[in-house]
Amino acid sequence: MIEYGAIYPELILILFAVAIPALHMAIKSSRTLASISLVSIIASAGMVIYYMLDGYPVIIGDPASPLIVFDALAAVFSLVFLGVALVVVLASARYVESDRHLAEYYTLTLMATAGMMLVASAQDLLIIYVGIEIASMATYALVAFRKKDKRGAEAAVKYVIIGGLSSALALYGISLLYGVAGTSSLIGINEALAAQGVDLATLMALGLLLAGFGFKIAIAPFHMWAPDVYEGAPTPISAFLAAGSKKMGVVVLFKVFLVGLIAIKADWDIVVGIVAILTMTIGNVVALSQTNMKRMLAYSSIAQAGYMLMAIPLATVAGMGDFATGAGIFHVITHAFMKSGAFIVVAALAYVAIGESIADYKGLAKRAPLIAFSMAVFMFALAGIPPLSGFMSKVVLISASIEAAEVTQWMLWLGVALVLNSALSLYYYIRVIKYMYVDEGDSKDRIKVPATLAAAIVICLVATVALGFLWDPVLEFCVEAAGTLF
Amino acid sequence: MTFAEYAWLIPILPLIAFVIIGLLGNRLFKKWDGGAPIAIGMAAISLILSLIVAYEALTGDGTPFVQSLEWVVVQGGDFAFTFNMGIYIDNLTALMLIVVSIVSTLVVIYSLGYMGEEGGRKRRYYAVISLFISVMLGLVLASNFLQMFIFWELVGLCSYLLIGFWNTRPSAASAAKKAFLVTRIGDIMFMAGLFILFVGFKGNLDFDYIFNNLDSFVGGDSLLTLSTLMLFGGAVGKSAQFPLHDWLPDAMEGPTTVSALIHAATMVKAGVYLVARSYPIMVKTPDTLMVVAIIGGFTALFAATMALNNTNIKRVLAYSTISQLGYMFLALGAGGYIFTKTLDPNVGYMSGAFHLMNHAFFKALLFLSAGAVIHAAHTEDMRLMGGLSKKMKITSLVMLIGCLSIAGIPPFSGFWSKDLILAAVYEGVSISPIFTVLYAMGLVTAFLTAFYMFRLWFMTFSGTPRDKKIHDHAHEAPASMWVPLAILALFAFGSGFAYLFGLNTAIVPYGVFSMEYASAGTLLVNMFTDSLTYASIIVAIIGIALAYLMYEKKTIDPARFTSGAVGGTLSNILLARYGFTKAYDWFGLRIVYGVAKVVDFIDRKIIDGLINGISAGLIRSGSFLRRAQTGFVQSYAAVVVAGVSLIVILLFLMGGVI
Amino acid sequence: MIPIEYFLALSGILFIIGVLGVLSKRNAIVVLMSIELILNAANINFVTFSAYYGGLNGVVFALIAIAIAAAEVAIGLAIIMNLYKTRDTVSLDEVNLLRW
Repeated sequence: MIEYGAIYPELILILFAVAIPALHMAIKSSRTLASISLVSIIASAGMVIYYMLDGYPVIIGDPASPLIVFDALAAVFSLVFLGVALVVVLASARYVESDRHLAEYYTLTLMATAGMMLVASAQDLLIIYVGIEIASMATYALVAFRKKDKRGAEAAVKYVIIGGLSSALALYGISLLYGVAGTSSLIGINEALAAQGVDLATLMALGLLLAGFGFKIAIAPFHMWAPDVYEGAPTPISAFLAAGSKKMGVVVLFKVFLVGLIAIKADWDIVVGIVAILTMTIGNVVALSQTNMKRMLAYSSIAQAGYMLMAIPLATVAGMGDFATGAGIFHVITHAFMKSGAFIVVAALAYVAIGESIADYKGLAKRAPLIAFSMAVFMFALAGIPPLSGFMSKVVLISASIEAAEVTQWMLWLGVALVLNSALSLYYYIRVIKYMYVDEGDSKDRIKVPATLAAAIVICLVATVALGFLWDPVLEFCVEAAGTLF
Repeated sequence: MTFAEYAWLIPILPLIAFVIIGLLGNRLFKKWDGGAPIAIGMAAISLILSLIVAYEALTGDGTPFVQSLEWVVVQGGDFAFTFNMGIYIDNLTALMLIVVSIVSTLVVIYSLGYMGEEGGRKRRYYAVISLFISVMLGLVLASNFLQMFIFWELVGLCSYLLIGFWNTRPSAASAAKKAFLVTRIGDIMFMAGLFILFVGFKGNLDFDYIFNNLDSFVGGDSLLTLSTLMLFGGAVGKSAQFPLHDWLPDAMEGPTTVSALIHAATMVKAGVYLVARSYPIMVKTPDTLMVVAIIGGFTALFAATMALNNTNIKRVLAYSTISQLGYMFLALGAGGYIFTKTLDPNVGYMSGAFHLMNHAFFKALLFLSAGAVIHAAHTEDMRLMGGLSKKMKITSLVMLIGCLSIAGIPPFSGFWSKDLILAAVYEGVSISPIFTVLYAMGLVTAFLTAFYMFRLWFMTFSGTPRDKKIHDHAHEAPASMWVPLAILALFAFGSGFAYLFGLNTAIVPYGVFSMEYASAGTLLVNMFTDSLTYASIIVAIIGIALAYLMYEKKTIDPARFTSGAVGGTLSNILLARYGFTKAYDWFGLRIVYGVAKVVDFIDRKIIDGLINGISAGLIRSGSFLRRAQTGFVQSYAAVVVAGVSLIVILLFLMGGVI
Repeated sequence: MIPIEYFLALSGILFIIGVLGVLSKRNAIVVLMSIELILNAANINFVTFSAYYGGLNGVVFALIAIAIAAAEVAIGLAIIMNLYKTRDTVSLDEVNLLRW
C-alpha cells in the first residue's frame, strides 16, 4: 500500500480544478468561482503548513531512489507557488469577469500550481518532467486565454513552440543522462557520475538540461520568448509566469544541478556562473530601452533570473551549500512578491483602461496615490533600495558571493556583476517613478481600482515591505530548507 | 565610575534641542524666543551631567574610562579594520567638558539678550548653536581619531553656518567661506595623518588601543613623525596658527556670541585638544614637538603685534585669541620636547591645558563684554567709544577683570597659567638655545598682551566720550547678559586657583608621566621665590603702564608711533595683517582657481564625457539588442539551439576533466 | 542482436532532423511535428537504454513521455488553430506583432 500523503496538497488543488467546470454549470459569477479557487488554495496551503508543523509525510518510492519527497524545500516553494496563485486568482476575479470559459481559467491556474508544487517535491527526473509539463500545458492555454486577441494568440504560439522545443531538448538530455547513469533518480545519477566521471554524452546532457529547464526561468540565451509572451498574455498570467512558473524552473535547476550533478560540479560551475552574469546583464541592458511596461518588467525578470541562478555556482563551494542556496531561495521569495505586485499594478491600470506604455503612467501619483505608491515600492524593491525586501535578498546574495570567494576566487565576480547590474537597473526602475511622480499627465481624473485587484496589490506590498524588515527568520528557514538538498 | 556610563547623554541632549528647534517651525517658537528655552534647558542639563562626570574623572585614579560600540568591523587578514563609536574620558576630557559646557551654557543664556532683536532668524541661531554644542561635546568625548575627525568636521560646519549667520552681508558670507576653506587645508592634513595612523596601527584608531600599543606601529619613526606633523597641521588650521591664522579675524563677522563661544572658548581649542590628546604619540616624535613649540611661540608674538594698533574691538580680541592659542602650543610643544630629552616630568602639558581652561573663561568674558558694548554702542570701532564706564558700570568692571586676567596680574587666573608656561619653556634653555629665543618671545608677548588689552579697555571705557550720540544712546546690558558676564568674571578671576588645589597632579598625560603631589603652600613658595615669576609680572605692569600713559593720561601721543616714515609703514603693515590677507587672496584666485579650472575641464570634458559615453553606449547597446528580438519565433529557436551548442562547447573547454 | 550503437545513431539522426525541421520549416504545424521527432528520438534512447540495462524504468519513462507529447500536440494544435482564426495564417514568418 503506497502512502500518498506527500501529494495531498497537489491533490486538493486538482480535485477543485476538476470540480470547478462542473460547478460552472450552476455558478456563473466570476467572483464566486474565484472564491472557490481561493478556498482550494488556502486548503492546500493549510495542508502544507500542517506538514511543516506536524512533520513531513513519508516519501513516495524506494527510499534509495525516491520519487517524491515532501520536505522543507518543497514546503517553501509550495508556499511561494500558492502565494502567487492566491494573488493571481484574486487579481483575476474582476480582470476576466467578462470573458467566456471562466471556469477553465481557474481550473488551469489551479492545475498549473499543482504541477509546480509537484516539481518542488520531485526527486526523480521523471516526476520533474511530468510536473513541468503539467504546469507548461496549463500555462500555454492560459496565455491563449483571450482567443480573440491577436497578440495573445501570437504569444501563445511562440510560447508553445519554444516551450515544446525546450521540453523536447530537456527530454533528450534526460534520456542521455539515463543512458549514462542507468537511472533517472537524482540521487542515483549523482552516485553513478561520482563513480564513473564525465564523458561527452554527460556534457551534452548537461547543456540540453540547462537549456530545457533554463527556458522556464528565461536565462540567456533561452530568454527570448519571455518578453513577447509576457507582453501578449493576460496581465495576471504574466505575473503568474514571472512569479510562479519561473520559480519552478529555479527549483528544478537547484535540484538537478545541486543534487543530481553535484558530483561533477567542477565541470559546470564556471559555465553556469557565466550564464548567470550574461543573463543579468542582457536583461538589464535591454530593459533600459523598453517603452512597454510589461516588456520592461519581462526583461527585469530576466535580469532577476540571473541573480537567482548565481546561487547555483556559489552553492558548489564546500560548506557554502546551505547558505548560498538559501540566499537564492530567499531572492525567489522576495522576487515573487515584488514582481507579481508590479504586474498586477499593470493589470489594475489596464482594467481601468490605462495603457501599457510607460508614458501612460505620467502623473499617476495624483490620479491614484495608493497604486502609484505601491508601484514605487515595487520598483524600489526590484532595484534593491533599502530597507525593502529586494535589497535584503541582494545583500544576502552578495555576502554569499564574498564568502564563497574566499575559497574560489572567481566567485567574487558574481557579486561584482550583481552590484554593477543593480546600479544599471536603477535607471529604468526610477524612470517609472519619475513618470508617476514628477511628470504631469494629460488627465487628472481620479482612478478607482476594483477591490479585489487592490487587495492583491496590498498583499504584495505588505509582503515586500515586511520581508525587508523580517528577513531574518525567513532567511533562516530558507537556509534550513536548502539544507535538505545536501 | 558610575555616572560616566551615561556620558553619552551629554552630547545627545543638545542634539535633541537642535532637532526640536530645527524641525518645529517658526510658528511654534514665535512666542518662545525662537526656542531659546529649549536650547538653554538642554545645555544646562548637559552641563550638570558634564560636571558630575568630570568630577568623577578628576577624583578617580586617572585611568581613562572607555566605552565603545563596534561600528564597522571588517575582517579578513591584512585588510582587517575596526571603527568604533565610543566615549573616552580621562582628566583632559574632564577639563574640556567643564570648559565647553560651562561656557556654552552661559553663552546661550547671554544670547537671550544679545540676539533678542533678531526676530525670525533666532530659531536658526538657536538650532545651529545647539548643534554646535552637541558636536563640540562629541568631539571632546570621542574615543578614537576617526570619530574625533567626524565631529571635527561638524564643528567646522557649525562655525561656517554661524559666521555667515547674517548671510545678507557680503562680508559675512565671504568670511564664512574663508574660514571654511582655510581650515579645510588643515583638515586635509589631519586626514592624511589619520591615514598614516590607520595603516600603521593595522586599522585601529582607538585612543585606547593606540596609546597602549605604540610600539606596534609599522612604518618606522619617520612615518610616525610625519603622522604627528600632519595631525598638528590639522590643529594649525583649526586653532588659527601661523600660517593658517588669517581666517579668525574675518570670522568676527559672525554674532559676538558666536565669536565668544566658537572662535575663542571652544572650537579653536580643538586643535590644542588634539595635540594634547595625541601627547602619548607626540612624545615619540620630538621633531614634531619642536615644530609645535616654534609655531606656537612665533604665532603668539606675531598675532600680538597685529593687535597693537587695530581699532576694531572684536578684531583686537581675535588677534589676542590667536596669540594666546600660540601660548598653549608653545607650552605643549616645549614641555613635550623637554620631556623627550630629559625624561623628567614637567609642567608643559599641564600648563597648556590649564591655560586652555583659563583662556576659555577670560576670553569668553572679554568677548561677551565686548558684545555688551557693541550692543549698547551699535559699533565695533573703538575710536567712536570712550567714557562708557559711567554708563556701563558692570560691563566695565567685568571687562577689567578679564583684562587683568589675560595680562597676567596675580592672582587673576591668566597669571598662573601664563607663568607656568614661561617657566616650562625656560626649563629648556639649558637644552637648546632655541628655547632662549622662545622664552624671549613669550615674555615680549606678555608685555604686548598687557599693553593692547589695556589700550582696548582705556579706549572703550575711560576718558571723554568721543562720539556724543553713541555715548548718549549707550545703556547697561539687560540682566540676561550681565548675569552670565558676572559668573564668567568669577571664573576668570578664580579658575587659576585650581592650580593650587591639585590640578597639577590631575592634568598629566596618562601613561606618559605623572607629577608628584605638592601642597598649595609649596607651590606658592616655589612660584614666588623664582625670579622669572617677577619678570613676567613686571613686563605686564610695564605694558599696562604704557597703555595708561598713552590712552588715559595722554602723556605719550600714540600718533608719534604712526606718523614717522618707519612708524607709518609699520603701522600699515600691521593693519594689512602683514599682507596675509592679500597673499591668501592671490593664492586662492591665481593658483587654486587656476587649478580648479583645469580640474573642471578634466571633469566636464573627460570624466563626464567618459561617463556619458558609457551610459549612452549602454542604452545604445540596449536598443541594439532589442532589435535582435525580431519577433520571429524561429529565430528564437535558432538562438536556443546555438546557445545549447555554445554551452556544450564551453562545458567541454572549461570543464577541464576530459 | 543489433548493437546498441545503431539505435543511438538512429536517435541522433532523428534528433538532428527534428532540430533542423524546427529551424527551417515555416509552417507552424510542421514545426510542431519536428518537435515530436525530437521527443521520439529521446524515446528511442529510453527504450534502448532500458533494454541495455535490463528493467522497465526507461520503458515507463518512454510511455509517459508519449502520453505527455500527445497532450502537448493537442494543446499546440489548438493554439495554432486559434492563430489561424485570428490571423488567417499558420506561417511563422508572418507572426511578429510582438517584438523588440
